Amino acid sequence: MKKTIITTIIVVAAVLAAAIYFTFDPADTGNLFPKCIFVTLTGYQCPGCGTQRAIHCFLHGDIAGMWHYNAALFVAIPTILLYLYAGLRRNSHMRLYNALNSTTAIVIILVVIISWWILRNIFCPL
Amino acid sequence: MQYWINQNGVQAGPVTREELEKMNVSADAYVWCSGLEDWVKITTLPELADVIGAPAAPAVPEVPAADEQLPEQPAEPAADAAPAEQPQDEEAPVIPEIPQEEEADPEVVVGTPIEPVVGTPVEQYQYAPQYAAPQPQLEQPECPPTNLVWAIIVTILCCMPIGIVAILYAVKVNRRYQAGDFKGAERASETGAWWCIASIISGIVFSPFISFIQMLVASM
Repeated sequence: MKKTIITTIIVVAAVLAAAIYFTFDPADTGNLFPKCIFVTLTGYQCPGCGTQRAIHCFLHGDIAGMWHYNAALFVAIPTILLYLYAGLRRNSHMRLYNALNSTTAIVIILVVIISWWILRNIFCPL
Repeated sequence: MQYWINQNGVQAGPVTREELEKMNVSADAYVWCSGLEDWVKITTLPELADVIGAPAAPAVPEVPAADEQLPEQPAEPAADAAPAEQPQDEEAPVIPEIPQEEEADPEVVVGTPIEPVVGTPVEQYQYAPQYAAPQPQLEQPECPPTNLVWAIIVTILCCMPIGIVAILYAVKVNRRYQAGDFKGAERASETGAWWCIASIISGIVFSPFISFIQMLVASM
């Protein structure tokens, strides 16, 4: 019951967000999409910076634009889908779930995220 | 060092190491002593390795008293102890029974608050019986969720480095679970989930605020 409600909320929110990001372009100047707090404060990009613009591009089929704004999404989105699948099918896919949630896997993800954070600021500064 | 032991859902303690040796402990019993965060399988404590099933062998030939204990005993300690068993053979029915009668009393007391024991630090005694209450917990529970997906989502999609904290809690969940600290793993799992929620909420709360500032800046 509780799970159904949470799932419904998440699906509705996702559809709504997709509609908003499809209609409006976060790359337009003077738009109302919230800018990342981290980049506003520090001037450095965070691991998620550019995601809003990238999603807008993705929804319009602009893969090059998506790559330009946040290349990490090409890895992140399949990873997230895989994790969601394994989480929902935990009982029948015990080994997949355990492998994905092992300490090794978590540490790899942490290292990838932090490397991405550092490298994008070195090689693709704002 | 004093130990609490839980064997087949029956808890006893405090007992000393010597008493444990006489107690016909099976390898799947759980023990707790001060310094441990939660009950652990007796096999995980190296210092107790040799008390497991020590006097098990003498119980085998005896029919009436030992009968109920027979099925739980692992086969191999019986074989191990076989050469040494002969002198103990006659005493066997007596030795296991005495400690078990002693345990029966504290077992009744366990349900009530723990004041009777005074000599040792108080928290130690509050701790053990508290953990004994949910017996089914002694079976290894499922590892609580690491919430790793949500941590990644808030890190990458919500533009919130707070997500990194949530990932660190995911590591903590695994570490505690593997150490046998199931309650601690549960707590780390919840804390990690709260970090994700906090990250999403702070994103939602700050967003209009940031949008407003952007609007002001743009209009200037």
